[in-house]
Amino acid sequence: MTAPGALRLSSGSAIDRARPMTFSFDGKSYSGFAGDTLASALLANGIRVVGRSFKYHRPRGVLTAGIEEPNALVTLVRASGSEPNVRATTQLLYEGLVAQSQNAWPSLRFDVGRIADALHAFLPAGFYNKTFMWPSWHVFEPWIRRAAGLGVAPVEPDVASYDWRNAHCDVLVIGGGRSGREAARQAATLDQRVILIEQEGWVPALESLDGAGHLTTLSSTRCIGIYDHSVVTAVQHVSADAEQREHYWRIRARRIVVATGAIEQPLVFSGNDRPGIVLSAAMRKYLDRYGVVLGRRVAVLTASDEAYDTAYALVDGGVEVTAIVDVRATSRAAESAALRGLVVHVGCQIIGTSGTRGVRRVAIRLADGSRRHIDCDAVAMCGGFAPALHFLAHAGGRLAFDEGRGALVPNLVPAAMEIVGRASGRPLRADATPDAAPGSHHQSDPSRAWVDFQHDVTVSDIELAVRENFVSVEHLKRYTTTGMAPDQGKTSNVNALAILARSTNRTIDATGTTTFRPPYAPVAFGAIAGGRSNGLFRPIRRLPTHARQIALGAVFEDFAGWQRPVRYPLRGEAEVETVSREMRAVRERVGLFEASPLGKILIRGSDAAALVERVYANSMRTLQAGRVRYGLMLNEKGIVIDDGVCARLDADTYWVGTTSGGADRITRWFEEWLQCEWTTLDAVVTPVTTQWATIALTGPNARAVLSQLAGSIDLSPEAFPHMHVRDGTLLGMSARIARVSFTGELTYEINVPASRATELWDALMNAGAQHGITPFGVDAIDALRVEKGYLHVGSDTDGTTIPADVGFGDAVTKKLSDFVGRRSLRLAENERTDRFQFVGVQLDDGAAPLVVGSHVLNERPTRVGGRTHGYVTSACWSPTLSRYVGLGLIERGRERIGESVLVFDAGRTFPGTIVEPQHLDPAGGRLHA
Amino acid sequence: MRDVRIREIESIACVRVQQRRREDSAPPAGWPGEASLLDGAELRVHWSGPQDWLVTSDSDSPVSLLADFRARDDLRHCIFTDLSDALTCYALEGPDALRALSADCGLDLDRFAVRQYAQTLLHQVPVLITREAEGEWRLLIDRSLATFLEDSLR
Repeated sequence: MTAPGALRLSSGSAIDRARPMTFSFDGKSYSGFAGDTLASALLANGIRVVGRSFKYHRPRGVLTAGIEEPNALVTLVRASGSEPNVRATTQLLYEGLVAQSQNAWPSLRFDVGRIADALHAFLPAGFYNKTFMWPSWHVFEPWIRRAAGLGVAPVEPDVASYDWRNAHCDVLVIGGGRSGREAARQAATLDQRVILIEQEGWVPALESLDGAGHLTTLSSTRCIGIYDHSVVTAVQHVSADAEQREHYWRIRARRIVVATGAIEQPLVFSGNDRPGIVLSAAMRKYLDRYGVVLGRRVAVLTASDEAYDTAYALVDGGVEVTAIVDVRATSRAAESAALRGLVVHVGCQIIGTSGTRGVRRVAIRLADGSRRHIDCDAVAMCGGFAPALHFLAHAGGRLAFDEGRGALVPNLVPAAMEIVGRASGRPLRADATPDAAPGSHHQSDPSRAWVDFQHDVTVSDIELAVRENFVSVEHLKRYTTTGMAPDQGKTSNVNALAILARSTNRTIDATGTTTFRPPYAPVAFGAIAGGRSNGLFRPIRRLPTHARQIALGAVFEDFAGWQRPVRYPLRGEAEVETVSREMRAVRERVGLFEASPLGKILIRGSDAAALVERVYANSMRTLQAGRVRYGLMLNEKGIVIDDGVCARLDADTYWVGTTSGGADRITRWFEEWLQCEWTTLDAVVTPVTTQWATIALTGPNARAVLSQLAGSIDLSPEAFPHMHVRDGTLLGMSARIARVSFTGELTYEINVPASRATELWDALMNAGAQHGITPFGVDAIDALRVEKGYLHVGSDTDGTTIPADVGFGDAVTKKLSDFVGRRSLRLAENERTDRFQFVGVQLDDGAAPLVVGSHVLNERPTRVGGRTHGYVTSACWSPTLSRYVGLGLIERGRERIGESVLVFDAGRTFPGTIVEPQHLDPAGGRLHA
Repeated sequence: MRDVRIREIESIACVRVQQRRREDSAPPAGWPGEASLLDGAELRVHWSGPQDWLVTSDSDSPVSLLADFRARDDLRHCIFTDLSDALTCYALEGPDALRALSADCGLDLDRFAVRQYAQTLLHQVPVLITREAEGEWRLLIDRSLATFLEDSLR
């Protein structure tokens, strides 16, 4: 609806009248000017009701002119998606802006939810915790959750662009007001690097700082939080239009000057939330900056001298000030105003307001006890000012309530911080009459006197909390949710504290304060994420032959931070067909696998053998040069943490292989032991995973293919048997070839300098063409190793698996020297006879899918479940065996080989059998070819 | 769009030098014991940590670099590893180079002197960053992460 007196004056220094803009609100078109905020433009168009309140769906209008706004939250609608809970008071107008009101259905004017206001007596604070107990809270929870919340979270991706900026400075000044500018100027003259951030986008006075030494001013920049080591985050709005872009600043400052001023507080009285009731400083700001007056007949209700300035400004702007109502007993400002001919009432109590969709009348009780009604079409109210000390609290400082000033003021300020200006608690004028104590002005109905506008918390809610013994400020906050809305209680905390203190007969200082935490104001997730989205979300490693894998049509997935081919589908091929084709190629001919992520660590030095011996659970000291041995690594608790092959290159050099995901972790593991425990060992650890590319050539034809490449290494089975390693040249490049296998077939793991990996790959593909060589991916190799019964640490082990559980008990027991985890293996828990052991699992119906995670039972589960005897850890379709095969960890599994069991998955039970892990070639004949 | 150019510098020889822990071992003569300015025109010795250096050369091959080191008496207690294939080197140039780096690097790069270097995280990736000149930087990064970093900087 249109406010009767709203109009745009010819003054207003922030707007550019030469640039009119159109925008829409709730589907209706309006006009404003460049420089307007959405709130100023709405007010200039006479829009008084901008939203409905959170709980009672009361009509609400603009209360403030800044970030502290609790009422005027709207949803911005853009072609790319919507953004809820945007403060109309800080959102700059742009051409074509589309805004919608929130929390109202079917319309802002007629909202069905308003019935909650009529039933408010039954809906006090915490009502849902008491009322919805039977039959269960969960019956009501979905309905209550649907009713709760402000705005609708968008489901579309945020297409706005954001970026991060890091900056360092000697002095960071937060706030570009008079005190902040002066602090910045002084620091700059001392040749210090100064950054001044100011949340307003239009502050002409900042221009006076231009050229002041190393001073950078960031306007439209809102400080978000202060963290350890004086790291400050801030969000800078770069553009207001639909392609909104923000910079997320992280500023490291040696010293921080907080010049954040003070936030005007509402008066607490019955009906103080009626549209048209605006904080006095905000009313003045709309007048001065945007040339908008909010009414033709304005009543000023105040507990502070500062509202008088608003009254004078309104009079100067041609507005009738129907009365100034001062709740203080005396005031010098009141005397001055009376001398200027204004009607002033001091020592008053505010009884309430009236008006259907906006304030029309204020009822007061005069000092002599008589009642009076003041007609008006807008109210400027001022309950005093609260220093904005959120950043002091972020930095670990303390606040205390100063009874004389009627405000929370800095009490303990960190060494690297300084509070200046009004944030320090200093009044605007030294000769001002002190503000009235906060929260003490309400009369009549406390259930209609709002404290927290955004969460609809009233005086009676706080009094109820006190009656129910929630007398700690932290309990009060959680019980009533006051101060917990997106505005973080910027206009409610002080009044709530004061009412709590009064209700418990304590001083405000004794009542205490809640803790302010970042963020100071809501931040878009996009700003926090910056450029870290989509492909840049987290670092992804690429293979040395990445381009070649793309050319081969590989399907990629991320494994332990590496982008790896999982399969190479042919046109029209289903996933299972691709994997089966690749597996058959390996079993029958030859396959090629990009294995570069396999961890490779060099251990060198005269004590290299000693180091390796202590880290592996099985013996590596006895390994001869040129030989390879499979080994397990344990943590101090005896739990298997990694496995792989270890090659001894010479007396003082080991080549430690790790799982692909374990390369960095195992390097650090070696370093930790070497640097912290075994500091006298002469051994050096060097990770070389990415120096060497690893390409695995595997299958019956592997030797025939590799023999075609010119090289210096004798590949004959006699000269180069299984589990041996050879250094030499291949195609003129350095090569280290190991005969080890994860497929169960004759395999050469060929390591060459990473820059020449593609050259080797191409040569092997060409040489293998006549042998039916086929590239295969991670899916196929995982299935090939399941067929063969090879352990995969992480899949076939869990956080309790020890070597004996995976068939490594003898190797560990025989080892005479000490190693990491040895002592723990002797604990009673690790010597239990009913431990889960690594075995094979098959279903009697081989065509029935065997699913990882299925539980192994020995009897059918009842309705209340059954006791698990273990679970399937790996499973695959075996094209060679034409059946599903699996591996699992099963209680006493080794002694139960051949036992019939039931395999339970998702409500279905299948008969199956515990078998040896090796489903294929148990004798290893293919391996030793 | 940022005015920044990224190009790969090829054929950089990179050798990691690690000193063995022996009682009679002393740091190589003239090599830094902490991060400092690079002082060699041909050979750049970066301190990576206690008894650990990364040596790079734009002109020498890894083979010749290794041969030289093995011949030096003051390096007799050191172990050498050719990492030329493990590392990718980028030159970053242009008026917005500093801004591009500062976007996701917590160091005070603005105060970096020419030839000053540091090991740090850039776009979550470990990197060795050196200021070559005003508006010119050099980045050494693990080969497998090079494409990611390049995409992040653009």
